[in-house]
Amino acid sequence: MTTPSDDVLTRTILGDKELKGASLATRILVTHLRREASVDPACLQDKVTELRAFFAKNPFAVNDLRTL
Amino acid sequence: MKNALMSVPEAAGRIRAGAVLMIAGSEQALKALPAGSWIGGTSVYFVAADGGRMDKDNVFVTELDMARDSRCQYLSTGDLHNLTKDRFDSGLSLIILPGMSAAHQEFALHGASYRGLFDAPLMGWISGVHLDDLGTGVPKVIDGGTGRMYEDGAVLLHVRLPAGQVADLDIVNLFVQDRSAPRITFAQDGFSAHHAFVDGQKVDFADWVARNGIDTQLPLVADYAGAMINVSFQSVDAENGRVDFYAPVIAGMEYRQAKSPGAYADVFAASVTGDGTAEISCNCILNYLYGKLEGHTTGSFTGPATFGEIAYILMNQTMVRLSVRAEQASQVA
Repeated sequence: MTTPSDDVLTRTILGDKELKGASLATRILVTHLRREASVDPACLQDKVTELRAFFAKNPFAVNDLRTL
Repeated sequence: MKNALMSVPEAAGRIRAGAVLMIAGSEQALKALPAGSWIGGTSVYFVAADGGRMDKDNVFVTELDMARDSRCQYLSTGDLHNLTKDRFDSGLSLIILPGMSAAHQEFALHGASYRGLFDAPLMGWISGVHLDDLGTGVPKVIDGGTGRMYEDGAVLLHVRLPAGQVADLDIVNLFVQDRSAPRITFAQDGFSAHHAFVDGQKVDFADWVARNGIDTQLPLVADYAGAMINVSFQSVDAENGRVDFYAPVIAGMEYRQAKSPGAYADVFAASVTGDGTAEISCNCILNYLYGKLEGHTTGSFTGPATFGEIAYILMNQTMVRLSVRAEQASQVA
């Protein structure tokens, strides 16, 4: 599965979707990024980049992409 | 993975045999162990194969028999942000922090921001003291590599797994949000709060808890994209308007109080699957106490009763479990 677009990652961070079936790591990370982006909206693009890097680096998280 | 409550001489034998171990026990018991590939922390409460018990003489030992390499590490509180730096490329890290220490606070408040924290499993717990010694005893951790004991900082055991093996780290939390309970938010991160917003209304939180007869044995629960993460009440001081927690509340997170899960041991047995004998696990001292686990088992899941649990971040009233399996079968990390 390819890494999703910036739009999908942005929606993931700005939304509150439950990531049903995702790993614990992905759920906590996404929630952490959501909170950071909520506190400081100017950092949204940094959080998108961080989430993209997490999926690119970690094969275990690839299955989680379908939950976004 | 092998889990067992054993005597100090038996544990010393495993250490001398070169086993890679995580050990919980009394300060006296831990001090009596020889140097080797292990880390430890103080707790004298265990959920053993024959049920929960308090035991100052024996130690609870988890042996990572699949480890291909390991290294013990002590990090001061100021260096905690580097905790992922020395881990193996393919493996997992275990961590123990002393309860109520500066390291405990630092990790709980800032750990989620540490670089690469979520790239590999980080599992562990917070050490504590006998409940009769709360307020006087000091929780400790020990770096088995050097034999040094600490009241602050963290001990880590980095483990390299065999090729093709990965670790799965997950939680068992029997508490879910009571959707009929009010929404609670906080303006600041912290282990204590004076004020909260209850359904949007600012309140003196201690007063609100007292006046509404809130059952403080039930944690506040936040929904982390479907994972339920607890913050447990430590104390409510209505006179001084202060509520203390065993983990920090996070500003902007929405909490609701938990529904009662019912009899903990029974509900646990009915809802948890898997072979606990092949996993590392720890369960919260509050589940041990409120769930009346003394003399009762949590099936095949055994381990220390701890004063905070770590699955990447600090948790409360939760069982953390870690298993190792073939890479292609892994669903979670």
